[in-house]
Amino acid sequence: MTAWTDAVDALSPRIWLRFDEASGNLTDDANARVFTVTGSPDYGVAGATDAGGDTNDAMTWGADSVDYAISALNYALHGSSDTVNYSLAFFAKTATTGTPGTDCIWHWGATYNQNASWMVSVTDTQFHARFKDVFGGVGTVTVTGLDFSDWAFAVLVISSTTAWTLYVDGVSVDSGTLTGFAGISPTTDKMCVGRAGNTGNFEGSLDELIFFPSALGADDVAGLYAAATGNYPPDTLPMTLQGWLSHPQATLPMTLQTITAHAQATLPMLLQGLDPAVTQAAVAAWSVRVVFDAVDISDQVVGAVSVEHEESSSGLATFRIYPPAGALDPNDYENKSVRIDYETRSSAGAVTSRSRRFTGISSRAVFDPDSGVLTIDATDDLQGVLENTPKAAIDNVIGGLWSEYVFDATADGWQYALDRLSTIASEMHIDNYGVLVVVPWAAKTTADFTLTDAGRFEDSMRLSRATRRDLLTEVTITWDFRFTRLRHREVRVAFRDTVGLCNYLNGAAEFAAKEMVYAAADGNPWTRISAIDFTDLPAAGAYCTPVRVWIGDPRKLFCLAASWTAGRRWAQTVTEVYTLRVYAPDLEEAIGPQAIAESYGVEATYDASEYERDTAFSGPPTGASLSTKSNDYQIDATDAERDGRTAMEAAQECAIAKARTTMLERARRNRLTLSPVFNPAITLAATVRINTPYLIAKGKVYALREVFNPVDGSVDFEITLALSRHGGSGLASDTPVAAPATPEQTQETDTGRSYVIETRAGGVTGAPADDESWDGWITNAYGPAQTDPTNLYRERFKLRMPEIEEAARQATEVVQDADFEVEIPQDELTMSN
Amino acid sequence: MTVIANVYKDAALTEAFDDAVDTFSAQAVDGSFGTGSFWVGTPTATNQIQATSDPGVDPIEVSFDDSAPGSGVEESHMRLALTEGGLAGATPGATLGLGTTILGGSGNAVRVWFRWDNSTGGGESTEMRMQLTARNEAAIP
Repeated sequence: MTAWTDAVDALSPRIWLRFDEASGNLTDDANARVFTVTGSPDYGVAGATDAGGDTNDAMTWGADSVDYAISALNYALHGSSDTVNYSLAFFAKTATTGTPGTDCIWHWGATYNQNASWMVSVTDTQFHARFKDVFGGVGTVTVTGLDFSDWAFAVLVISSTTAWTLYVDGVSVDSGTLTGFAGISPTTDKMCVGRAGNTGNFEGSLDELIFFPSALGADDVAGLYAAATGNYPPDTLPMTLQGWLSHPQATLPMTLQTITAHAQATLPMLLQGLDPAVTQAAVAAWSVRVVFDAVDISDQVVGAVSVEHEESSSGLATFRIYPPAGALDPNDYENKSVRIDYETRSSAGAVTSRSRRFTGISSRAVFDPDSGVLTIDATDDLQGVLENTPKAAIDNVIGGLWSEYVFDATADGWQYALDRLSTIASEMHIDNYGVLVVVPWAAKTTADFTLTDAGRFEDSMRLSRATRRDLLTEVTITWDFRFTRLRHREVRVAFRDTVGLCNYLNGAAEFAAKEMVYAAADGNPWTRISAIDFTDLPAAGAYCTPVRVWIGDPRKLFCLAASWTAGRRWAQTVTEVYTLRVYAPDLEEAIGPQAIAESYGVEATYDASEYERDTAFSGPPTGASLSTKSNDYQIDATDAERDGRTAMEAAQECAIAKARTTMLERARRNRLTLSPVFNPAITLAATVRINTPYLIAKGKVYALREVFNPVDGSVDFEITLALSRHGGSGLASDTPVAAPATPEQTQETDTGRSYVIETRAGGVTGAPADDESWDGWITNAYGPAQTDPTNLYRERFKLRMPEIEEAARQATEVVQDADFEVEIPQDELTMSN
Repeated sequence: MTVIANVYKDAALTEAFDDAVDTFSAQAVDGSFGTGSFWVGTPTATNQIQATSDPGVDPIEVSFDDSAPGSGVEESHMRLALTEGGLAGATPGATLGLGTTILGGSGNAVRVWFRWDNSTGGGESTEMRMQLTARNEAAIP
């Protein structure tokens, strides 16, 4: 036993032909089958290996097509039921370059094409196997690029029915699937070496042909090869090659941000509950607390303390103190914080409630040297606060609308706030705690307080009604919006053939040269924006009746006709004139028309000179569209942020809102003033209803006046209500404030967008005299057709493009009217005697 | 004098709230309500304010804190809203979110409105306070 035979036996071969016979038939070393040799192969040639003890013998099969060996009996390839896995191994050497599939080394089956057969062949560079199952399905294996010119050890392994792998010299060289092949058959049949049944002889040497009824693994194959040759197949050593990109040192900029952290803040609150049972008691014990510059100076206060608040005005307070003895500078008492509270007290003198009446600063201190009393005036400084408030903050607080085309852009914060306020039906004031608030004018549906005669008005009630002159029933706003309209006209120009080829050939006129057409098309104020489409002269030939021979125009220098598109740009000033009527029909119904007029204007700035100068264009300007009104391309230069259409429309809405607010404000100039029992809960934000047998009214508080006089224990309290009234039938309803639609452009007369020029020929009897105002192709008849040589024209190709009509060039105006109805609130007011 | 950063009494953000001398006040007759407001922001237009806990993610919030729960004024008597009109529909005692970032400049300040529904009768109460989230003020990146 040798390593080779051990290795083969270990894999349980079913057929093993060693080709070590000296003559005669071959014997299968695995199962002693006899293969009958036909022909005259060479025995005892040098083999691929002698590792198996066969003394290095092999056999060479000749080219005479009769050298082969065939088994004596039929054999099944498999000795078991496993028909799926099998392997065929052999050493082969051949110089044959023949067709794969015909130089057969191994064949099983009666004939080459019999179902249930397979064969293996090699040439010098290829391995080929062909399988046929019992159903006739065929699978093939073809591997090229091999080298069988010297001994090579081939192993074909079939596994999993149809998967194949080919090893050469112990190394897998290819693998694949036997498509369409169902598997090897267990049928018995003959085996043949050196020939496929009855054809396809192998020419070359064979050694150690082995059939294994199993699928050998890669290690098995490598082991066989090593055992046979002492060589191990080369190992595959995997490599990982990593490429690196090199970058230079980088500088990374840093931004280090300073953060100021603020801890959670606690904001103290002062909640002052008012109990009318105490504050409005017939006999109330009260006091006034005055905190001046954060110091309670109530004990220095002498005389009355007065506080006044009024819509959209600064709150005022006045008190007098008896300052401590010593030097006194009134300036020390000015611009200091002032807080005034109204306090109720128990019979024991303890404070039972406190109500802030005023928060502000001292504005003036006047010392009376005779009495030693210092009178201090204080204000909540509404105006001063707003003067110092950024406009962005005012926008947030006040709201409303604003436009530089309606208001003064240079106004200070105070005026800016008033301007914004003039577009909304609200007032602003600084409340008792010093906070700026904006409160709607409209009285609440349910009054916050209802005062009756039992509130002891004591004949204090006064009603003053708005006069007709105060009221306003209509505001007519005239609004001009002027802008530049960029226009672009395109005209198709045609040089029409009015002569005809035959007339040309008969001398009626000369042909027009293309160069002349180009010069005319590009030599006028219009811009040619397309190529010129020429009608070329026909090819050389005989034309017309009688026949005229035409030599042709091979260089295409002349034309019969031509056409192109020309463009012209200009700017037109457009003014949109809006008439916006803001009116209150209910009020007008009652008092007749009381109208005023306002006018505003916006001009969208745009320098069109460059647009008009530009002649290097090839189409309409970007964004332009073809107008059905003008039949020109046009685009309005109205997109400027400051004075474009958007800004103009916002300004229009501002003006409309301002007019509406003005009418509302005038309609609420009815005032009802009375002096009820002091109620500290009534503020400017409150709606108060007066309910007496002779007058009932409800309105928002317009003004408050409080005078606390500790000397006689009295509190003079006066409130004024604003009552909005219209006196009409109340059918009006507010039209939403929105800019009116853009007026429609005027329809222009269509002047056509084509221009035709023709040919005029002189030198012909009856032709008019030459005229320099003509355009087109001005030429002359020639030859016999020239019947009047005394009237020849100056030959020229002239183009006089049409001018833009005045209506399209001159400034134009379009109008738009819109009405805005205003609903005047009708506050409750009834009187009886 | 302790100025509370980012809390102002005026829209111009010039009168910082000083808890040594200032209180946020409201007065109301028993059964009625009183309102007030203040501003949260920074006058530095290039700065922004964010919650310290998770800047830019967590909201800046205002909430009520009752130092004497169970007596007098309760958190359920208080409301917060970003508009005066929103007070009526605000949930009593609920925390108010001012957003995750308040940009600098008076125009970007957030006005906070509070309301007290007086059901405790006459008298003066200082037990209620408002809490403003810990916050960072830094330059806008």
